[in-house]
Amino acid sequence: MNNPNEIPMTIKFGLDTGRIPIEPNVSQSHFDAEREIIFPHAWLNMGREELVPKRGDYVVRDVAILKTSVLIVRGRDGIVRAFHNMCKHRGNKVVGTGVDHGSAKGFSCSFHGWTYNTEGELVVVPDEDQFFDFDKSANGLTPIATEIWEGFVFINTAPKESLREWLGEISDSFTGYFDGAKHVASYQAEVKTNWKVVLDAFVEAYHAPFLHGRNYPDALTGETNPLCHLPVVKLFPRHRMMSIEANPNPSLTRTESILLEHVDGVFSAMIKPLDMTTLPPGVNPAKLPNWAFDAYTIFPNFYLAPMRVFQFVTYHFWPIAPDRTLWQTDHYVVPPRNAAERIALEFSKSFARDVQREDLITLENTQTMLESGAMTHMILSDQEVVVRHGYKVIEEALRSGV
Amino acid sequence: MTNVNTGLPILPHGFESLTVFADKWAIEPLSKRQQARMASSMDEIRIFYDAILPKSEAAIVYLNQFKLDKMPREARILMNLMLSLMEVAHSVELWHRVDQPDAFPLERLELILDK
Repeated sequence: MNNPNEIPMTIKFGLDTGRIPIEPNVSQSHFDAEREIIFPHAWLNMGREELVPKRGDYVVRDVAILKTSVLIVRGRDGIVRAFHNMCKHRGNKVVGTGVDHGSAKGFSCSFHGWTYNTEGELVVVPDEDQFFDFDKSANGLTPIATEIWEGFVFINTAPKESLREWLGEISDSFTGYFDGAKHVASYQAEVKTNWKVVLDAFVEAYHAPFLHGRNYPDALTGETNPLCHLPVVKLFPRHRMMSIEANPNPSLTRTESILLEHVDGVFSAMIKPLDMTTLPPGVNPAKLPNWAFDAYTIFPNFYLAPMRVFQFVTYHFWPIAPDRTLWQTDHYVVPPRNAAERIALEFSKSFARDVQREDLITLENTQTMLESGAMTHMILSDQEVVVRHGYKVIEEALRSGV
Repeated sequence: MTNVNTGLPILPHGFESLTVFADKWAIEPLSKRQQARMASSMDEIRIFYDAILPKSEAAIVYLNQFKLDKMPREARILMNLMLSLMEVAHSVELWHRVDQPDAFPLERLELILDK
């Protein structure tokens, strides 16, 4: 430890300091337990309300960890609802394979023509008289609980509490922050890695000067914080966050120098003073003057990062199999006001993409070796306390339920 | 808008020397710029970079006079060239090669939304 008088974060938070078993990241039985015990009762983020901006707009998402296809639709009444994408008749998908979004007055099953409106009610059953003791009004699409927080759409197949209760302290910390953002990029990749290993890579900064040393020589590290120590960590009962600081005096490339004559910052250099007067309590909670971004992990698989350059970035880690994850990232920005901001945004977008590509390739290599069985445990430092908390929350959930 | 004599796109006054790069680099959106970079040699990237970087300060000042959604055609071409500079800057300034080594393959990143 740098300062022998300082109590390590891990101890302060009451976590143990032992090694972390690798088994949860490689075993089918652990994966099955997560699928059966955690995910059915978890509030899962599906993106933002703008996915379905207008009445009748819908999206379909296959969610492997729920073993279902989810239909999210904004009804004629303006309310966003989610359903299992499954016809009440004999179970066919109501929106067929190959269609993942659109706008509709209703949904008609291709098998026998049963038709549902955008609120999920069953409205047409061909040859209805041939069915026995049949009540159309009791046979709408099977709903999935849907709630919206600050514009984010969450679903839960078997909720034990409301979304606000689930989010706890976080729920009141961001009022209005995410409004008005422009969604400028969305990437996804299937990564041959356990979902927790993917998530872990984004919740510590220890790797920044090493893995990202080529792209980010000193953007997050400098004389005052050469090893990118975390200035702020907060652990919630299920969720967790950390703040990351920028180096106020980074070395600049020629392109960065030109851009910074015209804009406040780029992804790799945030050197202008930060106006913190409008930030809600959840964003840069310690109001660090050199704040770069916060990384919130909303249990289990949603990562929400308010940022100085982008308005915010999200990651979703969708488990597919013990060694496969659908990783998705979305970039949301304050709409650029002029050409300089638009050009700088492009620089930041391509930079973010290339830094994330470094993260992802490392993870596949890690998974390969975790599966070798050569080690049974991994070692975490105090700077990886957020990673440690993640495993603790999962193991507790598996023991006592979500 | 193209020059009737040369058939090449017209760039704003002061940026005519970039005309030769328009076909290859004045493209959108990001996915196309990404493809253009990956399909180029390092020499091609460097020639484009060396030509546009010294003009980029002037280009930003020039482009800043327009609203983003109301850019004249020739300004839009210059804008797209500048956006391509953002795509190739790292090849020249950080990696000294077309793409970074030891990175997740670009073709495995599916671009779902690109604005």
